[in-house]
Amino acid sequence: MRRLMIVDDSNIIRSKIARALGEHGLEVVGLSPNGEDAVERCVSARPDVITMDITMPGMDGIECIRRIRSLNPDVRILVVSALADKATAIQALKEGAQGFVCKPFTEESLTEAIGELFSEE
Amino acid sequence: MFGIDLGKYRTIVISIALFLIFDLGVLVLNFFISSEIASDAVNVNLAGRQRMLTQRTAKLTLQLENRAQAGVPQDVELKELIAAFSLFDRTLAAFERGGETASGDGKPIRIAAVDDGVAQAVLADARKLWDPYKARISEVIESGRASPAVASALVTQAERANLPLLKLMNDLTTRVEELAASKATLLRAVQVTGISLATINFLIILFHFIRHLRASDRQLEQARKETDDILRTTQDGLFLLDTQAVIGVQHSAALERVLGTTALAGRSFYDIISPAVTPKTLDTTREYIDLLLRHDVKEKLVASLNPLECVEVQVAQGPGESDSRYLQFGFNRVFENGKVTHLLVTANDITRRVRLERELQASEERAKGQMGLLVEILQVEPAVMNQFLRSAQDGLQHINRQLRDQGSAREVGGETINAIYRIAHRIKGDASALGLSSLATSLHSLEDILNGLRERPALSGEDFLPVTVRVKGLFEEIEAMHLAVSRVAQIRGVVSVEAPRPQHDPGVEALPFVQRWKDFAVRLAGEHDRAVELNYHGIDAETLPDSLREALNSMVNQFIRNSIVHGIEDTDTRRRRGKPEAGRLSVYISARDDGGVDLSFRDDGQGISVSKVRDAAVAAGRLTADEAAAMDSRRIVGLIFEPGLSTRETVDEDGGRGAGLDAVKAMVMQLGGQIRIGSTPGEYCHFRLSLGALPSLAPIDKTEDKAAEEVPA
Amino acid sequence: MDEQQLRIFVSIIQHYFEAETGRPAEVGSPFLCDPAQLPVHDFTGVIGISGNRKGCVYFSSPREILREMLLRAGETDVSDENLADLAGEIANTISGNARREFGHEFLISVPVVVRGTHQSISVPRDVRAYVIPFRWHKVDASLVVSVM
Repeated sequence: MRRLMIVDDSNIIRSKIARALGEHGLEVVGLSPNGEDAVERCVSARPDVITMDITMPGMDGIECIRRIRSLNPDVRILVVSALADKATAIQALKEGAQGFVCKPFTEESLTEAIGELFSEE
Repeated sequence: MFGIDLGKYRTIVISIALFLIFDLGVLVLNFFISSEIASDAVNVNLAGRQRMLTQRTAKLTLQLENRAQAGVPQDVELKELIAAFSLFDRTLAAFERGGETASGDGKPIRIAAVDDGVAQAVLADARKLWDPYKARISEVIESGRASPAVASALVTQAERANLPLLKLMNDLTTRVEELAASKATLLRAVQVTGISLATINFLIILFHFIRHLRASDRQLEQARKETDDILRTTQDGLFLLDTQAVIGVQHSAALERVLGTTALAGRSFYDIISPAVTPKTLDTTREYIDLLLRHDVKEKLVASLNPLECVEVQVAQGPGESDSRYLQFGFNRVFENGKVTHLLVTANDITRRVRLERELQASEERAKGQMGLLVEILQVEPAVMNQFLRSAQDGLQHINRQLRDQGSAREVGGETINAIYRIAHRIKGDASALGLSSLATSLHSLEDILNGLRERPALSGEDFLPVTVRVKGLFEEIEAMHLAVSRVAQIRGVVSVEAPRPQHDPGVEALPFVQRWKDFAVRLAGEHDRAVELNYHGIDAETLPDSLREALNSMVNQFIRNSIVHGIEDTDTRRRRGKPEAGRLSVYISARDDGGVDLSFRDDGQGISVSKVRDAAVAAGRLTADEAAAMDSRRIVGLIFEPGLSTRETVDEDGGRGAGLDAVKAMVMQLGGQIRIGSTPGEYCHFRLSLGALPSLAPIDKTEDKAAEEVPA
Repeated sequence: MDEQQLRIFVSIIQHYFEAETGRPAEVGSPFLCDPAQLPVHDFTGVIGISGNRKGCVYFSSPREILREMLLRAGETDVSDENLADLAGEIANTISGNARREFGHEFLISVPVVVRGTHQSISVPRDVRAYVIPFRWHKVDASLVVSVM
C-alpha cells in the first residue's frame, strides 16, 4: 500500500484529497497545513507520494519540494495547485515534482494523476 | 555474453569470430604439422645415415682385418670404426626410445622415439642383429687393437649382419619417408579443409548479409517513403526539437502553412514563436521545454502547463485588414535508451475550434442573461413593457443628444449632468417599478458615475467617456429586452402563458396599472422594512394619451419611492404615534374638463422636515448656512425638487440621491403644469399636481399657502 | 471596447497634437452614433481591428486642421497629397501606439487613408459607434470607434 502525505493549507482540500485517494488504495500517513510542518513530518511519515500545494503561508510549496527532495530523493510529488501562473508551477516541477493537477480538481482527475505518477513511461 | 548487447550486429560478429577460429585452427595445425614434418625430415636424414653407417662399419671391419693380417698399424681404421659404430648405436637407440645423437654436421640433436609400429618392428629386428655385432666391435674397441683372429671373427660377424642390417635401415628410411609423406598429406588436407570452411563461412556471410542488407535497405527505403508520405500529407505541423530547441531537418509540409513561415529547419523554435507571443509567454515556453527535456516529470501530468495551448497570431490579409488565427502547440518527449533526446512538436491551426467555442460560450452567456431577463419580462404585461421600452429608448436618445450637443466645448455645464441624471433616474424608477432589476442596477451605476462627475470642480469632454460607455450598454440592454419581448409575444400568440387575471373585482383598484403601483409599493416597502397599503381612486389611466399616462406612471412611481424612503416610519414608530402599522399611500387621478389631469399623492408618514432639508442644502453646497437660515420654509421645502439634494444618509438604488422629485419636476415642466405640496411633520405629506392644458407660466416651486403655513419654521 | 480602451485612443490623439504642435486638442464629450450618420470630414485615416472583436477606428479631420499642422511644421506644400500623407501619419501613430498598448487583445491593421466622403469607410453595421469630438485650432475633427 502506497503511503500518501498531503500538504495544503486548506483543511477542506486536505480532507477532499484524503477522501479521494484513501478510497483508491493509498494510505494517508500525513496531513500538513504548511511547508515547515511537511518537511519535518516527511522524515517520520516516510511517504511514497506527496500532494503539494504551492501557495501556502510561511514556506511555500517550491521551497518545500526542494527540502523534501533533499531528504527523500525517491518520493514522488504531485503539485496540486490553482493555475494562477504557469511559470510558478513549472518552477515547482523543476524542483523535483513529477506532475501537476490544477485546482479545482475532480476525484477522478486526482486518482488518474496518481496512477500516472507511478506508471512506466 | 560479455554483458554487451550486440543487437543487429550479432550475426556478423559471430561469423567473423568463426572465420578467425578457422584461420587460427588451420594456422596452429599447420604450425604443428610443419614442425612434425621438419623433425620427420631430420629422421629421414638420420635413417639414411644409419644405412650409410652399416656400410661404412662393414668396410672398416674389412680394412681392419686387412691391417691386422698385414701387421700394420690399424689406429686410423679403429678410430673411424669407433666413430661410425658409436654414431650408429646412438642413433639407433634414439630412434628406439628417443634421445640425443649427432646431426649431419656433428652437432648434438635430440630426436623423439619413432612412434610407428612398423618402424619400431624394423628397429627391433635391427637391434637383434646389431647387439651381437656391437658386442664384437666393443671387444675390439676395448682391446685397443684387433688381432688377426679377432678381426676375422669381426668380419665374419659383419658379413653375416651387414646385408640384413642394410636392408633394415633401408626399410627404416623408407618407413620414415612414408610417415613424413603422410603428414604432408594431412597438412594439405587440413589446409584444404580450413580454407574450405573459411570459404563456406565467407559465402554464408556474404549471402546472409547481402540478403539482410538488401532487406533492410528495402525497409529503410519504405520507411523513408512512408515518413515522406506522412510528412507530406498530414494536416498537422510536425517537427522535432533537439535539446537546444532547434528544429530538426525534417518537418511536415503543413508546418510552413500553419506557421506561415518557410525555411524552418535548423532554426531556433523560440525565434519562430517570439513575434507571436508576449515575452512572458516566451520565457514560460523556455521553462516548459526545459522541464520536459531535463526533468523527471510525467508528460501527461504537466500538459496542462503548456503555455502554447492557444497562441493568437496575426496574419495580414491585405492593406488595412488583418485576421487573427489561433495555433496550438503540443509537445511529446522522444526517448532513446531511457533518455529524452528530442521533443516531437505538433502545431495545429485551431482557429475554427476556438471561434466555435467562443461563439458557443457567448451564446450560452446570452442565453443565461436572456433567461433572467425573460423571467423579469414575463411578469410584465407586454403592452406595458413595450411602452416602457419605448420611453426608455427615447430617454437614452435624449441623453445621447445632450452629450452630442455639448460638442467639443471645453467647459461642460453641470446642467447637462443634471439633465442626464433626471432622465436616468426616471428610467430607473420605472424599471424598478416593473421589477426589471438588472436594468435598474445598470442605471444605478450610471447614476454613480454622474454623481462622481457632479462633485468635480471642472469637467472636460473626456470625463463623459464612462457615461457614453454606460449609455451604450443601456441601449444594448434595452434592445435585448425588446428582442426578448417580441419573442415572448410570439410565444404568447401561440399559447396563453398566463391565465387571464381574475376579474372578480371590477373596480379601478384592480386595474393593471394600479396593481403595478401596489406591487411596487409593497415590494419596496418590504426592502426597507416598512409596511404600506396603496389605495387608488379616480379614472382609468389607460384611457389617457400615451405620453401623459407614461408621465403619470413615472411620477407616481417616484412619489411611492419618495414616501417609502423618506416618509413612512417603521412600524414601531408608527405604533407609538398611534398610526396604523401599515403606511397609507393614497393616489387620486382625475380628468379636468380642459383635457388636463390632476394627480394627488398623499402619505401618512412623518412629513417633510424643513430643518433636515435645510441641512441637506447646506451640506450639498447649495446654500451657505447664512442663506439657509435667511430663507423661508416655503422656499426650503421647494428645494426638494432640486437636483442632487437628499435628506437620506445612505445611497442605494431607491433613494438618497435626491433625484426622484427632481425628475418629477422636469416632467411637469415638460408637460406644463404645477406642483403643490402640503405637509405636517409627523402626520402627512401631500403632493398635488395639475398637468397639461394649463399655461405653464405658474412657478413650479410655488407651494400652497395653507400647506406652507402648516410647515413649522 | 471598454472605457479604458477608448481612453487610450483619446490619449494617443491628444498626445499627438501636443507633441506635433505644442497645442493640445480639446476633447468634447463622447456620444453614440448610428453607422449611417457618422461624421466624416475631408481626410480620414482608417485602422482595421480584427481578432475577437472586429470593426474599425478612424480619425477624420477637415482640411483646415491638416493644413494648419503642415504650415506649423514649416511645410509650405499643402497639396491634397501632403494633407492625405499627414492624415495617414496620424492614423499610423494611432495604429502603432494602440498596438503597443493593446498587445494581443486586438489585432490592428496597417491604416489606409480615405479622401472625402465619396469613398465609403466600411464600419460594422448594426453597431452604435462611439464618436469622440476633438477641437483644435477652432476646427472640429472626430475620432470614431466602431467595434463589434
